[in-house]
Amino acid sequence: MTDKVLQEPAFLVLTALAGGPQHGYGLVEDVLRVSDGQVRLHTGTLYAILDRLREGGLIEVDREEIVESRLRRYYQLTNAGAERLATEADRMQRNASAAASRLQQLPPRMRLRPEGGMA
Amino acid sequence: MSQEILERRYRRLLACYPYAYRAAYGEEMLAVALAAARPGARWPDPGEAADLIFTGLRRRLGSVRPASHDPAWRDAAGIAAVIGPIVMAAFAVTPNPGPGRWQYFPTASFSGIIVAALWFAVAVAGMLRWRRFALAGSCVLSAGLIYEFSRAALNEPNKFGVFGWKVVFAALIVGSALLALKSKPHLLSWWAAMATAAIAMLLAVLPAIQSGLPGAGSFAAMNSYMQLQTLLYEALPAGLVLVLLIIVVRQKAGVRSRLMIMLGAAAATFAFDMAAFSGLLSIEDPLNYPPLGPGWWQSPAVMVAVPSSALPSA
Repeated sequence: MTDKVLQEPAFLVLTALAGGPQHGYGLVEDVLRVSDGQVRLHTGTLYAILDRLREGGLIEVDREEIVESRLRRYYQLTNAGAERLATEADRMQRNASAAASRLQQLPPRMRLRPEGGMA
Repeated sequence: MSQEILERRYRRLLACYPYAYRAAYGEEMLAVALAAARPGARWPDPGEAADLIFTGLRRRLGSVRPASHDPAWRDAAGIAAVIGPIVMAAFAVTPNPGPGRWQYFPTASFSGIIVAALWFAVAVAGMLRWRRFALAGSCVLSAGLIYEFSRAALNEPNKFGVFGWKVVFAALIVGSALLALKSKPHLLSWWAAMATAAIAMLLAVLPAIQSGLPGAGSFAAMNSYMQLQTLLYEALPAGLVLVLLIIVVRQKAGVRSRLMIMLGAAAATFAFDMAAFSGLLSIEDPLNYPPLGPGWWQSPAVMVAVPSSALPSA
C-alpha cells in the first residue's frame, strides 16, 4: 500500500480528511466538493478505500457517536497519512508542472487553452 | 415508511458482505447509503446497489484463502499423507468379493501383498519427509487402483460402487501428498505411525498367515479357525479406527478439525460400503447391488465434496 501510487478516490479521501475528522457520509460529500462534483463515491467503494487506508496505517478511527440511534464513526488522518498525502501531492504537482511546461513548448496552433485548464 | 422499506432493501444488499465485516461496519454503511439516497426513494440506487454487491462479494472472496496457503490445512494434509497410505495398505488384500459369493475371509494374493508393501513405503516416505517420493508413489498407486476399478466397473459394475471408498481414499491421499509438500516436519510421532502401521500390517498379512496354517483349504480347518478369524477381522479394523481417532484427537484444534473433515468424508464412504456388505443396510445380496444404487453416486459425490471442502478455509 505504502509503495503503490494512490488511486484518485483514495487521494481524495485523504485530502478530505486533511480538513479534519469526518464520518462516512461527510466524506462522500466532501470528496464531491473537493473534486468539483466529479467524484461521487458509492458506499461500498468508500468503505473499501477506508479499509485499505486503515490497513496501511494512513487513517484511524477518531471517535464514535450515536446519532439518531445509528453508529457514526469519525475517521482522521494519521501522521503517516499526512506524510503520504504530502508526498503524493508533491508528485502530482511535479507531474502537472511537467505537463504544463511541455504544453508551453507546443506550436501555438496546438495550444488549445493557453491559460491552462488545470483543476 | 419509504425510508423503512429502503433500509430493509439496503440491509439485504449488505448481506453480500461477510458476517464479521457487517457486524463491524454494517450500520455505518447503511447510514451512509441512506443519507446518499434521494428523498422518498423506495429502491436502492442501481449504481449504489451494484457497488455494494461487487465490493461485498470481493470482500468475501478476499477473506478466503486457498488451502495451500493455510498452514493448518498443510499440517492436516501432512498427517493424512501418512495415515492414508497405511489404511490403504491394511485393506490392500482384505476384503474382496470372490466370484459369485462374498468371501469374508479372503485368500492371500501375491499382488495384494506387493500393493500393501508399496503403500507402506509411501507412508514411510511421508514420515521421512521425502514428500516428492510420497507424492509420486501415491499417484502411481492411485492410478493403478483407478485402472483396476474401471476394469472392474466395466466387467462387474456392482463391485465398483461397493469399493468406491478406496478410490475416495486414494484421491484424498494424492491431494494430501500435494498439499503436504510444504508442511512442517514432525507432524506425527513415530510412535503413532508405528502403532497404526502394526495393526495395518497384521490386517494385510492375515490372509497369508491363514493360508499357511496347517490344513489350510480344508473345510474342517476353516471351521476351527473361524472364531479366531472372526475375532481378528473385527478387532483389527476396530483397533485401527481407535488409533486413528487418538491421532486425530491429539492434534491442535485447527489441524484436528481439518483432519476430521478430510478423513471424515472418506470414513463415511468406507462405513457405507462396510454397512452395505455386513447387511446393516438390508441390501440382500451385495453383489446384486443395483448399478444405479447408492454405491454409484456416493463415491463421485464424496470425491467432489472432499476437495471442495478442503479449499475455502474461512
